[in-house]
Amino acid sequence: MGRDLGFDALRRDSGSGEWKTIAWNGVCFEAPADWEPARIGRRHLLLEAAPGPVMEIKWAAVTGRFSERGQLRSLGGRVARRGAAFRKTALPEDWRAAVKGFDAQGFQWDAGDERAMGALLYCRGCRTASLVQFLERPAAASIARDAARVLASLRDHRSDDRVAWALYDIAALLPARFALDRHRFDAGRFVVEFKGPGRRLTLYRWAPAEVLLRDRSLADFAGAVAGETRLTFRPLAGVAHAAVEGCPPPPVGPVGRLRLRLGMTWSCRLRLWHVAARNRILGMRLEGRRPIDGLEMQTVSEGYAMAGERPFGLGADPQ
Amino acid sequence: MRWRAKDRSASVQTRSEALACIPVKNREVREQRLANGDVLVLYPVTVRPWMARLGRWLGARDAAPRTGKLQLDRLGSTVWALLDGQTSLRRIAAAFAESQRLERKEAEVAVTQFIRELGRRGLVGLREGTPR
Repeated sequence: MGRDLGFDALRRDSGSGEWKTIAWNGVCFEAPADWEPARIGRRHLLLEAAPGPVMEIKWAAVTGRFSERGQLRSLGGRVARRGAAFRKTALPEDWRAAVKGFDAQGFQWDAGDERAMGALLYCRGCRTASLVQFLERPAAASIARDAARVLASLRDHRSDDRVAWALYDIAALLPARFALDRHRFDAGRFVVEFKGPGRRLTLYRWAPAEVLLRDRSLADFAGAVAGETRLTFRPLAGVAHAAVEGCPPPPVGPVGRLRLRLGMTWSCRLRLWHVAARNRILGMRLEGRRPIDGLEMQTVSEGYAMAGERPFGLGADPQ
Repeated sequence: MRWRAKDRSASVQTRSEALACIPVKNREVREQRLANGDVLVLYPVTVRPWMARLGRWLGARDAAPRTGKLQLDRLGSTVWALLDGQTSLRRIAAAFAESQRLERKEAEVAVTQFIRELGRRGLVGLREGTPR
């Protein structure tokens, strides 16, 4: 699937109300605004709405030959253990049009109190297999129409060597060299960590900012986040929000400078900015053995913002 | 004789049913509004029966009932003010999300964790409501 979703589109959709963009570790799709992530894995998302789970997607890169039959047999076995009847089906007409860039096979299962309809998708372009299923309860309204729109918007790769991330109220467009390491979405505090060659990147989001900054400044809050890294925080000028950035103290003496040059000193920079209109604090920590300059920090931080917010700089996909 | 697996089907509560529950404050609980706007909750602390029996057996006299204190922070105080014994968890979470400009799901998690903690201390109970 070569069609790309630019960062601006991602932001616009995320804040538009009825539908939003969800992007995680390579896959990106639109979903109704009330579908919220209930389970977030490295290559797995379970979305739920008011009645319960509504959509599940799992994806993985295929290293050898893709075996559609093997994947479906495995899924059928798992479903059968729950006492459900599993069968391969033809895709509905609107689904067929929606997934025309993929090799696709439909399936259904019915467990009485819950049933699902889904598709096993394989993208020849990036050799990624995705298993998407939409779950329904007999008493709940059908989500078949929404499902077709979700599938039509599904992308599993981009052409600009970047990866889009959009969950809850945060959105990021990061260089593909940053691979997901760990993530934690707690009420009030999100932390997503990435590993790249020689670099470690952490994205933060805190809420509500009013409460967190009630009796301390943003710099004090940033100092608490930095912990024992001995960063010196200064306000940043020329950015859209009130922001502070912490830098390590300059190396002292020739030994200190030599250690820095040889990569024996761990460099760290932390930037926090207060999105007052949304009552949030966003943060970004970049670490590595090589020194981190302001330009690198600026380039990465431009790709991270609140969903639906105007980007600080140019973050759109050039394609 | 075979061990029978415990039938969990009757005790499983869906998310919708859980959010329809109505938190009700313990009638024994008193509250004070502090100068900074936070709420101080005062509640009677009862000694566990076996501890009381042990104390009596060791010759101690029955101690006067103690009062526990729990100071809620600003967010806790906001949720506490929403507990009127009639409003469901879902509506409390929605009101909390609106007042703090939080995501709906995030507010639901925060409110349910807070109510669970209050319930563990015996400050609130849950009454069944009607799922949406």
